[in-house]
Amino acid sequence: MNLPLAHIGHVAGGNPLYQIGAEHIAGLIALGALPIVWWFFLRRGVPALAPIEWLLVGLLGASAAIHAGLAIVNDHGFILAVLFAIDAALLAVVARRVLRRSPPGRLGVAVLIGSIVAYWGSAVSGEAPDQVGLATKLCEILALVIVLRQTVPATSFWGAARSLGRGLAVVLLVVGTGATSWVGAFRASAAEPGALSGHRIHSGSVAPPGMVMPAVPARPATAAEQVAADDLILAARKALARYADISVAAADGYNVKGIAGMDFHASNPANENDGRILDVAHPETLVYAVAPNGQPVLMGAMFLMPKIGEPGPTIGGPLTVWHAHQHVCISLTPPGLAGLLSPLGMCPVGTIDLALTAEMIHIWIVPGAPEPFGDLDDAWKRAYLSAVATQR
Amino acid sequence: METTQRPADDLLDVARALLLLQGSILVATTIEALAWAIFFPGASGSPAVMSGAAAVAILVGRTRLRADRRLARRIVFLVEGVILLSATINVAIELALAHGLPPIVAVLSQIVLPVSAITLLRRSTRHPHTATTTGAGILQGAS
Repeated sequence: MNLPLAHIGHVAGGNPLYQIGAEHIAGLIALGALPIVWWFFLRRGVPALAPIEWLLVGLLGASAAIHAGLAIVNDHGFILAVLFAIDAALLAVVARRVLRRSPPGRLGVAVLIGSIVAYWGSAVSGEAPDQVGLATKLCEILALVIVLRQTVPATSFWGAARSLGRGLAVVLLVVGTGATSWVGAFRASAAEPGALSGHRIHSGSVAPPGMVMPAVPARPATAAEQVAADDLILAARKALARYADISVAAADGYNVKGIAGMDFHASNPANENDGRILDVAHPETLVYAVAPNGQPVLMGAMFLMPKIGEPGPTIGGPLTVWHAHQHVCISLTPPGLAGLLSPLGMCPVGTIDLALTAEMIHIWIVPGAPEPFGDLDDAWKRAYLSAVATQR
Repeated sequence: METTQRPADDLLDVARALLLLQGSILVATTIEALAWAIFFPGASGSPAVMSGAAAVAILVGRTRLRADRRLARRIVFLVEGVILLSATINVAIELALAHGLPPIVAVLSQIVLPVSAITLLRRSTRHPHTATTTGAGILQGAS
């Protein structure tokens, strides 16, 4: 499993979505202690339960233990700690009911749905979801599936309709958990405007899902770093000017077929293995955008480190921060990007999960780019492309 | 809760619950793949189609699971096999590139759920007197 917010080498700034938040370690410790509680309980005798009822007890107990651990450590503030404690107690009550061979009833449904929906609220309000929270919610949804199951076959129309409705409710809960987790992950990463577009992630900042950024000291660039960064842009503009003509790029081995959109990356496999690092004359990838008149416009280039885990040279200090990507889903049919690993733990079927890429940096050679080494704002790109189309 | 079912039905009950959760995760993954295909230029739509087909196969398959229905089992086994194959590749990539294991939720969704479902379905067929009178409805609650 991933260690708490840890990545290989110096790369330490991934999104919590794929990691274990330090404040949730207490929940895992409490989960580890659950078998001891369990042993004390079973000394009185083992109840005769069906396998599915044992599974239900296990899921409820696990969720109760994790919530109890979070309540005891109180890392989320007093009010949330009280809510965690109440949730833990109610989940334990429902588990006890099942152990006594009583149906979980409406209390079981209400407690589980309440716990899941409360998590949605937490995510939507900007609390970054992590692996402990998401795993707990999947356990609770599975527990709800068992609580809602119909023990007698549905024979009437209304019975079948109710049955279908319960199944759809479960699908909606799962989809809702995934959707709100995305919202939470992106909202948490947008909490420090400007830092992300410049790729300047400081201690305490959160990278967007799928991106890994090294923590950068919160200081302005020195005069020497500023000069080095300016020189790099000027050198890149001079060296890359010839690739404004896509036929030249194609002749040099760049894959410029099917240029579309505002962020088309034309890679050159030969340059990816040539051993050159940040060589402005031989970038690994060129980046094009299509102007409103249909003309492809060279926006800049992307430079890639040859090995995963090898840090890129930050010649401009905090101005030239490299980044990597994590948990990118790669389609095999046909080859290409297919998204990011879902908060629910899956890439689309027929794709594989690329856990980590090599470090990379963009250099935008277009004049006036607000962040020449970071992310180019879409609105700025649209305005620039419109201006280019008008001039031509 | 009065338990009157035979062992095979008990195991199928658990398998149906797991498959509903897995089918729901596949539905969510399909929606995410669709969104990616729509908003990201150059992205292929085939992952969304394959995920959607897998979701339908799992969700329909689980409603038809019975000890005497081989086709439903085989369809579920096929989808679980594809997911496990991808999971094997993913674990190898994670070990090689990130020097770690995949995130907890990925392990649950890609390995624990499929392995559990396959194990339960295989065990349920080993019981000599598998019941076909209970749990026979096509739509059986949420389980």
